[in-house]
Amino acid sequence: MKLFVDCKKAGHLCDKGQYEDASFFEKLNVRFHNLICKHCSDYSERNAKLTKLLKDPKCRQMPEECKKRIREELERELAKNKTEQKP
Amino acid sequence: MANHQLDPQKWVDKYSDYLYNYTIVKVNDKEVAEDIISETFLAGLKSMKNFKGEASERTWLISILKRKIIDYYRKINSNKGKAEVRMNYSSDEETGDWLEERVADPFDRTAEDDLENTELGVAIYACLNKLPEKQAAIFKKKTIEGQDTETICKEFDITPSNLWVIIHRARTALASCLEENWL
Repeated sequence: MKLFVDCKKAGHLCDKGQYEDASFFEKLNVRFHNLICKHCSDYSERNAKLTKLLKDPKCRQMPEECKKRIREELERELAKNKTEQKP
Repeated sequence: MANHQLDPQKWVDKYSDYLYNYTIVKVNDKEVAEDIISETFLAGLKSMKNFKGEASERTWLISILKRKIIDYYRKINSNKGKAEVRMNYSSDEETGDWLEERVADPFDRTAEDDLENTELGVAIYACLNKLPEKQAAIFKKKTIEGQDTETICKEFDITPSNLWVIIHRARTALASCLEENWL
């Protein structure tokens, strides 16, 4: 295992880090790389900001059971329309 | 002008979260928002033949949704009897039908206009709608629903490295879109 990685690898590990998919050592790789690379350090900052926004409670999601209910309603209506078209 | 198409089978997957964020800020009640969105989709289905293809599918659905939200406020307003909410011009010089002028013409507003001064949730889902369909679907599953890599790879028949490339592209595009339109 290397302590220093290239930009491509650092970017990938930074993405993984946003999902808790990166190991401790991989996170260390990103940190070390960012010390010597302005570009990747900016990328990491931006990436972390995006993660924070996506976890904000103001970014809401319609509950899955509600989506399911509406999907079924739409399916029923669509099926009805089809049978009406060819009597 | 681009000729947009309607595809009701994909409405829930593509737009329900966007419409949900949009509605909940305006009605401040989860169940009411769910009902209004369900009504919006059904109304959309009924008036599909009136769709001219001039606006995007999402803009068109939003225009229906706006009317449904107004209907909701009218209804609770009439239930309350005399507790009337007056929406009016800010000065006496302006006259006309306030509601018609301010609300009824959604087609000349683009989705981009709607993004300004908007809520975070609305902005995020509006930006997600700009991504290629498959990219957005994979990104949502991984990031918002928190599914693990293996499950998603199986569902879409891709390798983990495919997945990370897609995630990377989606994140970059999303960050730029939010920087432009929200931050």
